[in-house]
Amino acid sequence: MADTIQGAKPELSLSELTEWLTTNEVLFGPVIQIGNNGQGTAATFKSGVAIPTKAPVVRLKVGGQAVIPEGATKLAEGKVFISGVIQDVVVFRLA
Amino acid sequence: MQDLFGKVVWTGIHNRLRVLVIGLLLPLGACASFDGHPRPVVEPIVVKDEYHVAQALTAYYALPADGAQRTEYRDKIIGIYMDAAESRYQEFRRLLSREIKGSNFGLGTGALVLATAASVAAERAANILSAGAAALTGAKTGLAKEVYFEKTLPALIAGMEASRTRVRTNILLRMQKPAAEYSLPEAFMDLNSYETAASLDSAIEMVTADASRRVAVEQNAYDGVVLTLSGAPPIGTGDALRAAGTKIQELEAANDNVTLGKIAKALNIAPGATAPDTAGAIRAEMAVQIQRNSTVEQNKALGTKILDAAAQPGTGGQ
Repeated sequence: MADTIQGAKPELSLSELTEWLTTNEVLFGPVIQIGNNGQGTAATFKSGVAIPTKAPVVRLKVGGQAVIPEGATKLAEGKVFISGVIQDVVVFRLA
Repeated sequence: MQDLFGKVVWTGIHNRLRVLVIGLLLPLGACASFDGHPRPVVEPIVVKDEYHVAQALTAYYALPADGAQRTEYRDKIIGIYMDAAESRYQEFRRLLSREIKGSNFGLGTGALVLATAASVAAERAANILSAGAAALTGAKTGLAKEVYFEKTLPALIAGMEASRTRVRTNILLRMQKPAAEYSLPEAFMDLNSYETAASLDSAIEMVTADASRRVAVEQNAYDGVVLTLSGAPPIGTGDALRAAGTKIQELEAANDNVTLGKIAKALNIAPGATAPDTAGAIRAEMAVQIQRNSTVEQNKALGTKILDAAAQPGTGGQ
């Protein structure tokens, strides 16, 4: 089964993007890659893998670094639109 | 080698020296990744005979043109080849790193050994030994030019990764189309691009053009990918639909198209011929309704409707 790529409008806030990822995970499987196509945020979801029981967390990087809680699993990182501005983020899931 | 040894009378010491020099030079020819690209995937160990291009195309065209079988077979072949290419790529990267380190060490040591031996050998032998040392040093310089990317290897690998990501993304997008719109021959062309995207030659071109800019853009962007951009669902939607989404996935995995048909009927959409088709249609309809719904309560109701339909007794919507 093919993985699924979905696009999100660039004006989404950080919390809205998190909800967008959460909802798409429920539909298409866990997120494995994020980025942008210049017009909006894009994410790839892994098909055929069990839908996660916990939502992903999106966190902005500061100075190229992001603090991930101990035990959390990093899912993806990349440049996405947050409130219309390209930002470096990391996506992880708490244990 | 002929210039070095061609006019020498081969005495015992000469023969030993010849063996030594040839032995030191041999590793150069044995380096698997000095070609600058991974080995092809179409080898018996990586891709079975039945999945070779000709056999796969024959099997593909033997399937009905108007059904989902060609799409499924195409996706299967793409999966096999991408997995094989990934395996080859990882092997290539490992060998690349190891061989660069190994060659530098071996050649440096060889040159030192021959130069030292020349200082204690008879005149003619010393000339040969010195020539051998010079040859090795020269070989190392030549090799260093051939693999001049040693110091920029991380950037080159990043360039290859960026190219592979871009090609892979395009393949994944095109896999969402049925075989009638994205056929197996087209897929093979894309898979070939995916393999060659791991070429050091193309990576060098990319890096020398503008390494940091290209790598940053390609790695962080779905460059050139055309997407329909959706808005944010109401907060709590994901959690509200998690049980329904999981149920659909379970039914799809169990190939239970009857129960999926009940859900499709409840959502007023036509079920597909297969469980994956119906599950895909349900997900697409859910995405539409989620975009239309303005409150999390509406999305909770959507989830409840799906779960209720799945629990409903009867023969389903087929």
